[in-house]
Amino acid sequence: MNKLPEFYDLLTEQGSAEAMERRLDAIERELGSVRLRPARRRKGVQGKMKKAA
Amino acid sequence: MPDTPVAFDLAGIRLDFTLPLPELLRSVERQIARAGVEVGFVFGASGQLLVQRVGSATAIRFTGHELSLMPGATLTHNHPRRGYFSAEDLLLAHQFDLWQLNAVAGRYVYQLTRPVAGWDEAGLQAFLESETRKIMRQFAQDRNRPAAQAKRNALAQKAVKALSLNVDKVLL
Repeated sequence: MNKLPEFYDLLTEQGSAEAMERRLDAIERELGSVRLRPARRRKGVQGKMKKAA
Repeated sequence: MPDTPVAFDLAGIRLDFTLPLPELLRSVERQIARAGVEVGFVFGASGQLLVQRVGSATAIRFTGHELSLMPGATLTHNHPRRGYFSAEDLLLAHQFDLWQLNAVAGRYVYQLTRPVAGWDEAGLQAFLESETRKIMRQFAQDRNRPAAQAKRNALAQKAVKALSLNVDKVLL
């Protein structure tokens, strides 16, 4: 047996479902932040736009 | 614990220590079967009461001292929503070397008994981590919460099968 922790919370069905919800929230936040990051501008495209103008 | 324990009258539970352990367990399990919160009892190999705990809506908290009493003991508790073992139940039995873990689900009791060769804690941890990663990867793709929760609910049953754990379903 491992070293005993100070306490151990045996999750109820509700607690277990809530813990899962928190993990899913964290994934959504992580994915959301990736999606919200502005796309990097490409120098080449900028140059072409200037020429066209 | 994130929320406060819900009142449940432990003093109202009758414990007949003249009964052999299996009958004492059944007697306690009948009395906690309809409790609206999780209630847990830990008995030693000769039937002595080691721990009794009422949980909150989200967890039953065991102290370090209580955990030190668990090797070789039997823990029984009720599942108010009448569900099967959770992954957390399986982990508790493995990590603290219980002899038996019982979960009362309505009119039935699920009994998980320690294998002759002992618990394969590393095997269970690896299985649960790998399966959880799969669930999370799938969720990252489809964002389907009900599907992810359903897979999590089925995880313990899948682990029992994968690790060939010994679970009996007994009528209360």
